[in-house]
Amino acid sequence: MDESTCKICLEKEQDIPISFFLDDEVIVCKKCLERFRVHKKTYRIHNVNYHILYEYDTWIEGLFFQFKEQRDIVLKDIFLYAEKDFLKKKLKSFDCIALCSGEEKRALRGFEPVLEIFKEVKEPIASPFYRTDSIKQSSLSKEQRKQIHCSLKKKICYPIRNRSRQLLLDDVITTGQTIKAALLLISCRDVLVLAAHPLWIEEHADDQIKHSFWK
Amino acid sequence: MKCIRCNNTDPKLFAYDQGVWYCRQCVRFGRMDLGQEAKSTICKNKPKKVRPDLKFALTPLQEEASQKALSHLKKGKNVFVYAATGAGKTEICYASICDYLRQGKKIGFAISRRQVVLEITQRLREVFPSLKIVEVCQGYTSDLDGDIIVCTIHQLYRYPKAFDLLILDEVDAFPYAGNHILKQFVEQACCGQQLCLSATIDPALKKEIDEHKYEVVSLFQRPHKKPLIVPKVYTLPIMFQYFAIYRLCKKFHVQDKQTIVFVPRKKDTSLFCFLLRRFGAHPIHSMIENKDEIMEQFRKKRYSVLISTTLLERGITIPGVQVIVFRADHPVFSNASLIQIFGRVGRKFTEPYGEGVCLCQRKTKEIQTCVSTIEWMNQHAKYV
Repeated sequence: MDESTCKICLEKEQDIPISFFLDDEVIVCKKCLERFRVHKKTYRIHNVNYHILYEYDTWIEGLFFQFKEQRDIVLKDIFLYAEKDFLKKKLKSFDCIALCSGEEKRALRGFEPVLEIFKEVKEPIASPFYRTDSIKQSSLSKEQRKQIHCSLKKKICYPIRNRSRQLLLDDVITTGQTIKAALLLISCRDVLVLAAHPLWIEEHADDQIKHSFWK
Repeated sequence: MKCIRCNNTDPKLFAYDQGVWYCRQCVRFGRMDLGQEAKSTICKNKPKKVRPDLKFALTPLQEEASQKALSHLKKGKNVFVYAATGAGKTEICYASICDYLRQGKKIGFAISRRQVVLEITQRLREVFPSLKIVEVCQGYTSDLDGDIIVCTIHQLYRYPKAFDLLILDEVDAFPYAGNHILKQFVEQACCGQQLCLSATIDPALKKEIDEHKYEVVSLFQRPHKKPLIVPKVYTLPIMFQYFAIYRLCKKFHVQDKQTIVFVPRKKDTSLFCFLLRRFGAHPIHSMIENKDEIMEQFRKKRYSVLISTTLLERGITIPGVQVIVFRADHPVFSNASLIQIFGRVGRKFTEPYGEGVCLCQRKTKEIQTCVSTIEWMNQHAKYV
Protein backbone atom coordinates (compact mmCIF):
# COMPACT_ATOMS: atom_id res chain seq x y z
CA MET A 1 0.00 0.00 0.00
CA ASP A 2 1.48 3.36 -1.00
CA GLU A 3 1.83 5.80 1.86
CA SER A 4 0.10 9.11 1.28
CA THR A 5 2.27 12.18 0.99
CA CYS A 6 1.23 15.32 2.81
CA LYS A 7 0.66 18.08 0.28
CA ILE A 8 2.14 20.67 2.61
CA CYS A 9 5.32 19.21 4.07
CA LEU A 10 5.73 16.50 1.39
CA GLU A 11 6.42 13.93 4.12
CA LYS A 12 4.85 10.50 4.01
CA GLU A 13 1.97 10.17 6.48
CA GLN A 14 3.11 7.69 9.12
CA ASP A 15 0.00 7.62 11.32
CA ILE A 16 -2.92 6.22 9.42
CA PRO A 17 -5.86 8.45 10.31
CA ILE A 18 -9.44 7.26 10.17
CA SER A 19 -10.05 9.40 7.11
CA PHE A 20 -7.70 7.14 5.15
CA PHE A 21 -10.35 4.44 5.19
CA LEU A 22 -12.94 6.88 3.91
CA ASP A 23 -10.90 8.93 1.43
CA ASP A 24 -8.66 7.76 -1.36
CA GLU A 25 -5.86 9.94 -0.19
CA VAL A 26 -4.75 11.72 2.94
CA ILE A 27 -3.97 15.23 1.79
CA VAL A 28 -2.67 16.82 4.99
CA CYS A 29 -0.72 14.98 7.66
CA LYS A 30 -1.55 15.21 11.35
CA LYS A 31 1.43 17.44 12.16
CA CYS A 32 0.50 20.02 9.53
CA LEU A 33 -3.19 19.87 10.47
CA GLU A 34 -2.30 20.75 14.04
CA ARG A 35 -0.55 23.89 12.86
CA PHE A 36 -3.78 25.50 11.67
CA ARG A 37 -5.13 27.83 14.33
CA VAL A 38 -8.79 26.92 14.21
CA HIS A 39 -11.00 29.82 15.22
CA LYS A 40 -14.60 28.88 14.24
CA LYS A 41 -16.31 31.93 15.66
CA THR A 42 -18.94 34.33 14.37
CA TYR A 43 -18.97 38.12 14.62
CA ARG A 44 -22.01 40.29 14.02
CA ILE A 45 -21.04 43.63 12.46
CA HIS A 46 -23.68 46.01 11.04
CA ASN A 47 -26.22 43.17 10.89
CA VAL A 48 -23.90 40.92 8.92
CA ASN A 49 -22.59 37.63 10.33
CA TYR A 50 -18.87 37.11 9.72
CA HIS A 51 -18.00 33.42 10.15
CA ILE A 52 -14.26 32.96 10.65
CA LEU A 53 -12.63 29.56 10.24
CA TYR A 54 -8.95 30.18 11.09
CA GLU A 55 -6.82 32.77 12.74
CA TYR A 56 -4.30 34.30 10.32
CA ASP A 57 -0.71 33.62 11.40
CA THR A 58 2.69 33.06 9.79
CA TRP A 59 1.82 29.41 9.06
CA ILE A 60 -1.30 30.12 7.03
CA GLU A 61 0.29 33.26 5.56
CA GLY A 62 3.07 31.08 4.15
CA LEU A 63 0.53 28.66 2.70
CA PHE A 64 -1.48 31.46 1.07
CA PHE A 65 1.73 32.89 -0.38
CA GLN A 66 2.75 29.53 -1.81
CA PHE A 67 -0.73 28.95 -3.22
CA LYS A 68 -1.46 32.40 -4.63
CA GLU A 69 1.89 33.99 -5.42
CA GLN A 70 3.96 30.86 -6.16
CA ARG A 71 0.94 29.37 -8.00
CA ASP A 72 1.09 26.02 -6.23
CA ILE A 73 -2.41 25.01 -7.31
CA VAL A 74 -2.18 21.72 -5.39
CA LEU A 75 -2.64 23.65 -2.14
CA LYS A 76 -6.23 24.56 -3.06
CA ASP A 77 -7.39 21.41 -1.29
CA ILE A 78 -5.57 21.85 2.01
CA PHE A 79 -7.34 24.87 3.46
CA LEU A 80 -10.72 23.18 3.89
CA TYR A 81 -9.41 19.62 4.21
CA ALA A 82 -10.25 19.23 7.90
CA GLU A 83 -13.70 20.82 7.53
CA LYS A 84 -14.67 19.50 4.10
CA ASP A 85 -17.66 17.36 5.12
CA PHE A 86 -18.92 19.91 7.63
CA LEU A 87 -18.80 22.76 5.10
CA LYS A 88 -20.33 20.66 2.32
CA LYS A 89 -23.41 20.14 4.47
CA LYS A 90 -23.44 23.72 5.75
CA LEU A 91 -23.13 25.44 2.39
CA LYS A 92 -25.91 23.38 0.77
CA SER A 93 -28.49 25.87 1.98
CA PHE A 94 -26.54 28.93 0.78
CA ASP A 95 -26.01 30.66 -2.53
CA CYS A 96 -22.30 31.31 -2.46
CA ILE A 97 -20.67 34.40 -3.93
CA ALA A 98 -16.89 34.69 -4.17
CA LEU A 99 -14.71 37.75 -4.03
CA CYS A 100 -12.12 38.19 -6.76
CA SER A 101 -8.55 39.19 -7.58
CA GLY A 102 -7.58 41.78 -10.19
CA GLU A 103 -7.50 40.84 -13.89
CA GLU A 104 -3.73 40.97 -14.06
CA LYS A 105 -3.31 38.64 -11.10
CA ARG A 106 -5.87 36.23 -12.46
CA ALA A 107 -4.12 36.15 -15.83
CA LEU A 108 -0.74 35.57 -14.17
CA ARG A 109 -1.97 32.85 -11.84
CA GLY A 110 -4.35 31.18 -14.25
CA PHE A 111 -6.90 30.68 -11.49
CA GLU A 112 -9.08 32.50 -8.99
CA PRO A 113 -7.90 31.50 -5.48
CA VAL A 114 -11.19 31.81 -3.58
CA LEU A 115 -13.11 29.87 -6.24
CA GLU A 116 -10.52 27.12 -6.31
CA ILE A 117 -10.49 26.72 -2.52
CA PHE A 118 -14.26 26.57 -2.11
CA LYS A 119 -14.95 24.51 -5.25
CA GLU A 120 -14.37 21.33 -3.20
CA VAL A 121 -17.29 22.08 -0.88
CA LYS A 122 -19.71 24.01 -3.05
CA GLU A 123 -20.65 24.24 -6.69
CA PRO A 124 -21.62 26.43 -8.37
CA ILE A 125 -20.13 29.55 -6.82
CA ALA A 126 -21.12 32.90 -8.27
CA SER A 127 -18.38 35.33 -9.25
CA PRO A 128 -20.15 38.61 -9.95
CA PHE A 129 -17.33 40.98 -8.99
CA TYR A 130 -14.38 42.42 -10.87
CA ARG A 131 -11.64 44.88 -10.00
CA THR A 132 -10.44 47.82 -11.96
CA ASP A 133 -6.93 47.52 -10.45
CA SER A 134 -4.59 44.74 -9.38
CA ILE A 135 -2.97 46.31 -6.36
CA LYS A 136 -2.60 43.94 -3.39
CA GLN A 137 -4.60 45.14 -0.40
CA SER A 138 -1.72 44.17 1.87
CA SER A 139 0.59 46.64 0.11
CA LEU A 140 -1.72 49.57 0.85
CA SER A 141 -2.01 51.76 3.94
CA LYS A 142 -5.15 51.69 6.07
CA GLU A 143 -6.41 54.86 4.42
CA GLN A 144 -5.66 53.62 0.93
CA ARG A 145 -7.48 50.36 1.61
CA LYS A 146 -10.65 52.31 2.35
CA GLN A 147 -10.69 53.29 -1.32
CA ILE A 148 -11.26 49.66 -2.42
CA HIS A 149 -14.92 50.48 -3.05
CA CYS A 150 -13.69 52.60 -5.97
CA SER A 151 -12.01 49.65 -7.68
CA LEU A 152 -14.38 46.79 -6.79
CA LYS A 153 -17.30 46.61 -9.21
CA LYS A 154 -20.22 44.31 -9.94
CA LYS A 155 -20.72 42.82 -13.40
CA ILE A 156 -23.88 44.38 -14.80
CA CYS A 157 -25.35 41.37 -16.59
CA TYR A 158 -24.30 38.74 -14.05
CA PRO A 159 -27.41 36.92 -12.78
CA ILE A 160 -27.65 36.71 -9.00
CA ARG A 161 -30.67 34.98 -7.51
CA ASN A 162 -32.22 37.18 -4.93
CA ARG A 163 -32.30 34.59 -2.21
CA SER A 164 -32.15 35.50 1.42
CA ARG A 165 -29.45 32.92 2.07
CA GLN A 166 -26.51 34.45 0.25
CA LEU A 167 -23.05 33.79 1.60
CA LEU A 168 -20.08 35.92 0.62
CA LEU A 169 -16.76 34.04 0.47
CA ASP A 170 -13.26 35.41 0.96
CA ASP A 171 -9.88 34.00 1.92
CA VAL A 172 -8.47 36.62 4.31
CA ILE A 173 -9.91 39.53 6.28
CA THR A 174 -7.50 42.17 7.57
CA THR A 175 -9.26 45.54 7.80
CA GLY A 176 -12.52 44.26 6.31
CA GLN A 177 -12.65 47.00 3.66
CA THR A 178 -12.87 44.60 0.71
CA ILE A 179 -15.81 42.75 2.20
CA LYS A 180 -17.50 46.04 3.15
CA ALA A 181 -17.13 47.21 -0.44
CA ALA A 182 -18.62 43.94 -1.71
CA LEU A 183 -21.56 44.23 0.70
CA LEU A 184 -22.37 47.65 -0.73
CA LEU A 185 -22.77 46.01 -4.13
CA ILE A 186 -24.53 42.82 -3.05
CA SER A 187 -26.37 42.63 0.22
CA CYS A 188 -25.59 39.47 2.13
CA ARG A 189 -26.37 38.61 5.72
CA ASP A 190 -23.54 36.11 6.00
CA VAL A 191 -19.84 36.13 5.13
CA LEU A 192 -17.50 33.17 5.38
CA VAL A 193 -13.81 33.98 5.68
CA LEU A 194 -11.02 31.43 5.79
CA ALA A 195 -8.68 33.42 8.01
CA ALA A 196 -8.97 36.63 10.02
CA HIS A 197 -6.03 38.77 11.04
CA PRO A 198 -5.50 38.87 14.85
CA LEU A 199 -5.88 42.66 14.80
CA TRP A 200 -9.30 42.33 13.17
CA ILE A 201 -10.29 39.71 15.75
CA GLU A 202 -9.09 41.95 18.57
CA GLU A 203 -10.90 44.98 17.16
CA HIS A 204 -14.17 43.05 16.92
CA ALA A 205 -13.89 41.06 20.14
CA ASP A 206 -17.09 42.68 21.45
CA ASP A 207 -18.96 41.74 18.26
CA GLN A 208 -18.53 38.03 18.79
CA ILE A 209 -21.82 36.12 19.03
CA LYS A 210 -22.95 32.57 19.48
CA HIS A 211 -24.20 31.29 16.13
CA SER A 212 -25.46 28.00 14.87
CA PHE A 213 -23.20 28.19 11.79
CA TRP A 214 -20.35 26.34 13.53
CA LYS A 215 -22.53 23.71 15.21
CA MET B 1 10.86 14.08 -15.27
CA LYS B 2 13.57 16.15 -13.61
CA CYS B 3 13.48 19.60 -12.05
CA ILE B 4 16.49 21.56 -13.27
CA ARG B 5 16.49 23.68 -10.12
CA CYS B 6 16.47 21.07 -7.34
CA ASN B 7 17.16 17.89 -9.35
CA ASN B 8 13.94 16.27 -8.09
CA THR B 9 13.02 13.14 -10.06
CA ASP B 10 10.31 11.75 -7.77
CA PRO B 11 7.06 11.74 -9.81
CA LYS B 12 5.04 12.08 -6.58
CA LEU B 13 6.60 15.50 -6.10
CA PHE B 14 5.38 16.85 -9.43
CA ALA B 15 1.93 18.33 -9.96
CA TYR B 16 -0.06 18.83 -13.14
CA ASP B 17 -1.74 22.15 -13.81
CA GLN B 18 -3.46 23.10 -17.07
CA GLY B 19 -1.12 21.30 -19.39
CA VAL B 20 2.16 21.67 -17.54
CA TRP B 21 3.99 19.73 -14.87
CA TYR B 22 5.75 21.63 -12.11
CA CYS B 23 8.02 20.64 -9.27
CA ARG B 24 6.52 20.78 -5.78
CA GLN B 25 9.75 20.05 -3.93
CA CYS B 26 11.11 23.54 -4.57
CA VAL B 27 7.82 25.37 -5.27
CA ARG B 28 8.16 27.60 -2.22
CA PHE B 29 11.05 29.26 -4.04
CA GLY B 30 8.81 30.04 -6.99
CA ARG B 31 7.04 27.66 -9.32
CA MET B 32 9.33 25.92 -11.79
CA ASP B 33 7.49 24.33 -14.71
CA LEU B 34 9.09 21.40 -16.50
CA GLY B 35 10.92 22.68 -19.52
CA GLN B 36 11.14 26.18 -18.08
CA GLU B 37 14.59 27.67 -17.97
CA ALA B 38 15.78 29.19 -14.74
CA LYS B 39 16.40 32.90 -15.24
CA SER B 40 18.95 34.87 -13.32
CA THR B 41 18.00 38.30 -12.09
CA ILE B 42 21.40 39.93 -12.40
CA CYS B 43 23.60 41.56 -14.97
CA LYS B 44 27.24 40.87 -15.64
CA ASN B 45 29.87 43.00 -13.89
CA LYS B 46 32.29 45.38 -15.54
CA PRO B 47 35.96 44.95 -14.59
CA LYS B 48 36.75 46.98 -11.48
CA LYS B 49 40.09 47.68 -9.84
CA VAL B 50 39.54 47.79 -6.11
CA ARG B 51 41.62 47.41 -3.00
CA PRO B 52 40.23 46.63 0.43
CA ASP B 53 40.19 49.59 2.78
CA LEU B 54 41.28 47.84 5.98
CA LYS B 55 41.58 49.45 9.41
CA PHE B 56 44.29 46.92 10.25
CA ALA B 57 46.72 45.25 7.85
CA LEU B 58 46.45 41.51 7.47
CA THR B 59 48.89 39.54 9.61
CA PRO B 60 51.60 37.63 7.70
CA LEU B 61 49.72 34.39 8.31
CA GLN B 62 46.44 35.86 7.06
CA GLU B 63 48.20 37.22 3.99
CA GLU B 64 49.77 33.84 3.29
CA ALA B 65 46.44 32.04 3.68
CA SER B 66 44.76 34.62 1.47
CA GLN B 67 47.31 34.20 -1.33
CA LYS B 68 47.21 30.43 -1.08
CA ALA B 69 43.43 30.43 -1.41
CA LEU B 70 43.64 32.75 -4.43
CA SER B 71 46.30 30.58 -6.01
CA HIS B 72 44.06 27.49 -5.76
CA LEU B 73 41.06 29.41 -7.13
CA LYS B 74 43.10 30.61 -10.11
CA LYS B 75 43.80 26.99 -10.95
CA GLY B 76 40.07 26.39 -11.04
CA LYS B 77 39.95 24.52 -7.73
CA ASN B 78 37.35 24.84 -5.01
CA VAL B 79 38.83 25.90 -1.69
CA PHE B 80 37.94 25.22 1.92
CA VAL B 81 39.33 27.69 4.46
CA TYR B 82 39.53 25.93 7.81
CA ALA B 83 40.16 28.77 10.22
CA ALA B 84 39.60 29.24 13.92
CA THR B 85 36.73 31.48 15.07
CA GLY B 86 37.85 35.09 14.85
CA ALA B 87 40.91 34.23 12.75
CA GLY B 88 39.63 36.47 9.99
CA LYS B 89 38.06 34.13 7.43
CA THR B 90 36.21 37.00 5.78
CA GLU B 91 39.42 39.05 5.52
CA ILE B 92 41.19 36.10 3.86
CA CYS B 93 38.66 36.32 1.02
CA TYR B 94 39.45 39.92 0.09
CA ALA B 95 42.35 39.18 -2.25
CA SER B 96 40.19 36.68 -4.16
CA ILE B 97 37.28 39.14 -4.27
CA CYS B 98 39.53 41.85 -5.72
CA ASP B 99 41.01 39.47 -8.31
CA TYR B 100 37.61 38.31 -9.55
CA LEU B 101 36.26 41.87 -9.66
CA ARG B 102 39.30 42.92 -11.70
CA GLN B 103 38.27 40.36 -14.30
CA GLY B 104 34.69 41.62 -14.35
CA LYS B 105 33.45 38.44 -12.69
CA LYS B 106 30.40 38.09 -10.47
CA ILE B 107 30.76 37.34 -6.77
CA GLY B 108 28.22 35.91 -4.38
CA PHE B 109 28.63 35.57 -0.63
CA ALA B 110 26.14 33.05 0.72
CA ILE B 111 25.56 32.48 4.41
CA SER B 112 23.32 30.10 6.31
CA ARG B 113 21.95 32.66 8.77
CA ARG B 114 20.08 35.85 7.97
CA GLN B 115 21.51 37.75 10.93
CA VAL B 116 25.04 37.15 9.67
CA VAL B 117 24.13 38.34 6.15
CA LEU B 118 23.37 41.77 7.54
CA GLU B 119 26.56 41.88 9.59
CA ILE B 120 28.82 40.72 6.73
CA THR B 121 27.20 43.21 4.33
CA GLN B 122 28.00 46.04 6.72
CA ARG B 123 31.61 44.89 7.04
CA LEU B 124 32.07 44.58 3.27
CA ARG B 125 30.61 48.06 2.72
CA GLU B 126 33.20 49.49 5.12
CA VAL B 127 36.02 47.64 3.38
CA PHE B 128 34.88 48.27 -0.22
CA PRO B 129 33.16 51.68 -0.05
CA SER B 130 33.24 52.18 -3.83
CA LEU B 131 31.39 48.94 -4.57
CA LYS B 132 27.69 48.26 -4.58
CA ILE B 133 27.17 45.55 -1.95
CA VAL B 134 23.60 44.30 -1.66
CA GLU B 135 22.09 42.12 1.01
CA VAL B 136 19.43 39.67 -0.13
CA CYS B 137 17.50 37.91 2.61
CA GLN B 138 14.10 37.96 4.27
CA GLY B 139 13.00 41.59 4.40
CA TYR B 140 15.67 42.67 1.90
CA THR B 141 14.59 41.55 -1.55
CA SER B 142 13.89 44.78 -3.42
CA ASP B 143 17.43 45.15 -4.78
CA LEU B 144 18.86 41.90 -6.11
CA ASP B 145 21.95 42.96 -8.01
CA GLY B 146 25.29 44.49 -7.09
CA ASP B 147 29.04 44.09 -7.41
CA ILE B 148 28.92 41.66 -4.51
CA ILE B 149 25.68 39.97 -3.50
CA VAL B 150 25.48 38.82 0.11
CA CYS B 151 22.57 36.47 0.65
CA THR B 152 21.20 33.59 2.64
CA ILE B 153 21.70 30.25 0.91
CA HIS B 154 17.92 30.02 0.38
CA GLN B 155 18.08 33.11 -1.83
CA LEU B 156 20.52 31.44 -4.22
CA TYR B 157 17.51 30.09 -6.14
CA ARG B 158 17.29 33.57 -7.71
CA TYR B 159 20.76 33.26 -9.21
CA PRO B 160 21.10 30.22 -11.50
CA LYS B 161 24.58 30.07 -13.10
CA ALA B 162 25.23 33.59 -11.85
CA PHE B 163 28.41 33.54 -9.78
CA ASP B 164 31.97 33.06 -10.98
CA LEU B 165 33.05 33.02 -7.34
CA LEU B 166 30.63 31.79 -4.70
CA ILE B 167 31.86 32.28 -1.15
CA LEU B 168 30.01 30.01 1.25
CA ASP B 169 30.30 30.91 4.89
CA GLU B 170 29.58 28.41 7.67
CA VAL B 171 28.97 25.50 5.32
CA ASP B 172 28.43 23.11 8.23
CA ALA B 173 25.64 25.20 9.79
CA PHE B 174 21.87 24.77 9.84
CA PRO B 175 19.93 24.99 7.57
CA TYR B 176 22.43 24.29 4.77
CA ALA B 177 24.10 21.25 6.35
CA GLY B 178 22.37 18.08 5.18
CA ASN B 179 19.78 19.93 3.07
CA HIS B 180 19.95 18.54 -0.46
CA ILE B 181 17.67 21.25 -1.94
CA LEU B 182 19.94 24.03 -0.69
CA LYS B 183 22.93 22.07 -1.92
CA GLN B 184 21.34 22.02 -5.38
CA PHE B 185 20.81 25.78 -5.23
CA VAL B 186 24.51 26.20 -4.46
CA GLU B 187 25.51 23.94 -7.37
CA GLN B 188 23.12 25.77 -9.70
CA ALA B 189 24.23 29.24 -8.61
CA CYS B 190 27.96 28.72 -9.10
CA CYS B 191 29.40 28.57 -12.61
CA GLY B 192 33.00 28.97 -11.42
CA GLN B 193 34.69 28.24 -8.11
CA GLN B 194 33.46 27.81 -4.55
CA LEU B 195 35.31 29.26 -1.59
CA CYS B 196 34.00 27.66 1.60
CA LEU B 197 34.70 29.01 5.05
CA SER B 198 34.23 27.46 8.46
CA ALA B 199 35.83 26.93 11.84
CA THR B 200 34.16 23.56 12.17
CA ILE B 201 33.83 20.56 9.86
CA ASP B 202 30.84 18.25 9.75
CA PRO B 203 31.07 14.62 8.50
CA ALA B 204 29.64 15.45 5.04
CA LEU B 205 32.21 18.19 4.52
CA LYS B 206 35.00 15.98 5.80
CA LYS B 207 34.01 13.35 3.24
CA GLU B 208 34.22 15.89 0.42
CA ILE B 209 37.60 17.09 1.65
CA ASP B 210 38.85 13.50 1.78
CA GLU B 211 37.64 13.05 -1.80
CA HIS B 212 39.78 16.08 -2.78
CA LYS B 213 36.81 18.12 -3.89
CA TYR B 214 38.37 21.03 -1.99
CA GLU B 215 41.87 22.32 -1.46
CA VAL B 216 42.29 23.09 2.24
CA VAL B 217 43.84 26.28 3.59
CA SER B 218 44.20 26.36 7.39
CA LEU B 219 44.63 29.23 9.83
CA PHE B 220 44.27 28.81 13.58
CA GLN B 221 45.84 32.02 14.84
CA ARG B 222 43.72 35.02 15.62
CA PRO B 223 45.11 38.37 14.37
CA HIS B 224 45.87 39.56 17.89
CA LYS B 225 47.85 36.32 18.43
CA LYS B 226 46.09 35.53 21.68
CA PRO B 227 44.78 32.00 22.10
CA LEU B 228 41.18 30.92 21.64
CA ILE B 229 39.18 30.93 24.86
CA VAL B 230 39.02 27.43 26.31
CA PRO B 231 35.69 27.16 28.13
CA LYS B 232 35.57 26.25 31.80
CA VAL B 233 33.29 23.25 32.17
CA TYR B 234 31.26 22.82 35.37
CA THR B 235 29.13 19.78 36.03
CA LEU B 236 26.10 20.91 38.02
CA PRO B 237 22.47 19.91 38.51
CA ILE B 238 20.12 22.19 36.59
CA MET B 239 18.92 24.11 39.65
CA PHE B 240 22.50 24.96 40.55
CA GLN B 241 23.12 26.07 36.98
CA TYR B 242 20.46 28.77 37.41
CA PHE B 243 22.23 29.97 40.50
CA ALA B 244 25.63 29.85 38.81
CA ILE B 245 24.37 31.89 35.86
CA TYR B 246 22.95 34.50 38.20
CA ARG B 247 26.26 34.78 40.05
CA LEU B 248 28.27 34.98 36.82
CA CYS B 249 26.03 37.64 35.29
CA LYS B 250 26.28 39.64 38.49
CA LYS B 251 30.08 39.38 38.39
CA PHE B 252 30.28 40.43 34.72
CA HIS B 253 27.81 43.24 35.31
CA VAL B 254 30.01 44.64 38.07
CA GLN B 255 32.98 44.44 35.70
CA ASP B 256 30.91 46.34 33.12
CA LYS B 257 31.08 43.45 30.68
CA GLN B 258 28.27 42.25 28.44
CA THR B 259 27.17 38.62 28.52
CA ILE B 260 25.42 36.26 26.15
CA VAL B 261 23.69 33.36 27.87
CA PHE B 262 23.03 30.57 25.40
CA VAL B 263 20.03 28.37 26.16
CA PRO B 264 18.86 25.25 24.31
CA ARG B 265 15.18 26.20 23.80
CA LYS B 266 13.24 29.34 22.92
CA LYS B 267 11.05 28.96 25.99
CA ASP B 268 14.12 29.07 28.25
CA THR B 269 14.79 32.68 27.21
CA SER B 270 11.77 34.13 29.04
CA LEU B 271 12.65 32.41 32.32
CA PHE B 272 16.21 33.73 32.23
CA CYS B 273 15.02 37.21 31.30
CA PHE B 274 12.95 37.20 34.45
CA LEU B 275 15.76 35.78 36.54
CA LEU B 276 18.35 38.24 35.22
CA ARG B 277 16.13 41.28 34.83
CA ARG B 278 18.12 43.37 37.26
CA PHE B 279 21.08 43.09 34.88
CA GLY B 280 19.10 44.36 31.92
CA ALA B 281 18.55 40.99 30.24
CA HIS B 282 16.75 40.68 26.90
CA PRO B 283 15.73 37.63 24.88
CA ILE B 284 16.55 36.91 21.25
CA HIS B 285 15.56 33.90 19.14
CA SER B 286 14.20 33.10 15.68
CA MET B 287 10.56 33.83 16.54
CA ILE B 288 11.24 37.34 17.83
CA GLU B 289 10.41 39.89 15.16
CA ASN B 290 12.71 42.80 15.89
CA LYS B 291 15.96 40.82 16.04
CA ASP B 292 17.95 43.44 14.11
CA GLU B 293 16.87 46.15 16.51
CA ILE B 294 17.76 44.03 19.55
CA MET B 295 21.25 43.34 18.16
CA GLU B 296 21.71 47.02 17.47
CA GLN B 297 20.70 47.89 21.04
CA PHE B 298 23.03 45.23 22.42
CA ARG B 299 25.91 46.63 20.39
CA LYS B 300 25.14 50.06 21.79
CA LYS B 301 25.27 48.49 25.27
CA ARG B 302 21.61 49.22 26.02
CA TYR B 303 21.33 45.63 27.25
CA SER B 304 23.87 44.07 29.52
CA VAL B 305 22.75 40.48 29.04
CA LEU B 306 21.33 38.77 25.98
CA ILE B 307 19.55 35.43 26.39
CA SER B 308 19.86 33.61 23.11
CA THR B 309 19.25 30.31 21.43
CA THR B 310 21.81 29.02 18.93
CA LEU B 311 20.66 31.87 16.66
CA LEU B 312 23.74 33.88 17.69
CA GLU B 313 26.24 31.03 17.76
CA ARG B 314 27.94 32.16 14.56
CA GLY B 315 29.18 35.23 12.75
CA ILE B 316 28.45 37.77 15.48
CA THR B 317 31.20 39.97 16.90
CA ILE B 318 30.53 41.85 20.14
CA PRO B 319 33.68 43.36 21.69
CA GLY B 320 34.38 42.22 25.24
CA VAL B 321 31.45 39.80 25.46
CA GLN B 322 31.45 36.90 27.91
CA VAL B 323 29.62 33.70 27.15
CA ILE B 324 27.75 31.22 29.32
CA VAL B 325 26.08 28.08 28.03
CA PHE B 326 23.19 26.66 30.05
CA ARG B 327 22.56 22.89 29.76
CA ALA B 328 25.48 22.44 27.39
CA ASP B 329 24.76 18.69 27.42
CA HIS B 330 21.44 19.31 25.59
CA PRO B 331 21.40 17.62 22.13
CA VAL B 332 20.99 20.97 20.38
CA PHE B 333 24.58 21.85 21.34
CA SER B 334 26.78 19.88 18.99
CA ASN B 335 30.56 20.19 19.33
CA ALA B 336 30.56 22.50 16.28
CA SER B 337 27.88 24.63 17.90
CA LEU B 338 29.87 24.89 21.16
CA ILE B 339 33.11 25.74 19.34
CA GLN B 340 31.28 28.51 17.50
CA ILE B 341 29.61 29.79 20.67
CA PHE B 342 32.85 30.11 22.63
CA GLY B 343 34.40 31.62 19.53
CA ARG B 344 32.33 34.76 20.22
CA VAL B 345 34.74 35.62 23.05
CA GLY B 346 37.95 37.60 22.62
CA ARG B 347 37.64 38.43 18.95
CA LYS B 348 38.79 42.04 19.00
CA PHE B 349 42.29 43.52 19.35
CA THR B 350 41.02 45.75 22.12
CA GLU B 351 39.38 42.85 23.97
CA PRO B 352 41.34 39.67 23.17
CA TYR B 353 40.47 37.90 26.42
CA GLY B 354 37.24 36.88 28.09
CA GLU B 355 35.41 34.09 29.83
CA GLY B 356 33.52 31.16 28.43
CA VAL B 357 31.58 29.03 30.91
CA CYS B 358 30.04 25.69 30.01
CA LEU B 359 27.41 24.41 32.46
CA CYS B 360 26.18 20.85 32.14
CA GLN B 361 24.83 17.93 34.13
CA ARG B 362 27.38 15.63 32.55
CA LYS B 363 30.36 16.06 30.23
CA THR B 364 29.05 14.75 26.94
CA LYS B 365 31.26 13.67 24.05
CA GLU B 366 30.26 16.91 22.30
CA ILE B 367 31.56 19.02 25.19
CA GLN B 368 34.79 17.02 25.41
CA THR B 369 35.36 17.28 21.64
CA CYS B 370 34.72 21.02 21.76
CA VAL B 371 37.31 21.55 24.48
CA SER B 372 39.89 19.25 22.89
CA THR B 373 39.43 20.84 19.43
CA ILE B 374 39.92 24.35 20.80
CA GLU B 375 43.03 23.22 22.69
CA TRP B 376 44.32 21.52 19.50
CA MET B 377 43.76 24.70 17.49
CA ASN B 378 45.65 26.72 20.13
CA GLN B 379 48.56 24.29 19.89
CA HIS B 380 48.57 24.61 16.10
CA ALA B 381 47.98 28.33 16.11
CA LYS B 382 49.72 29.01 12.86
CA TYR B 383 49.02 28.55 9.18
CA VAL B 384 49.62 24.91 8.16
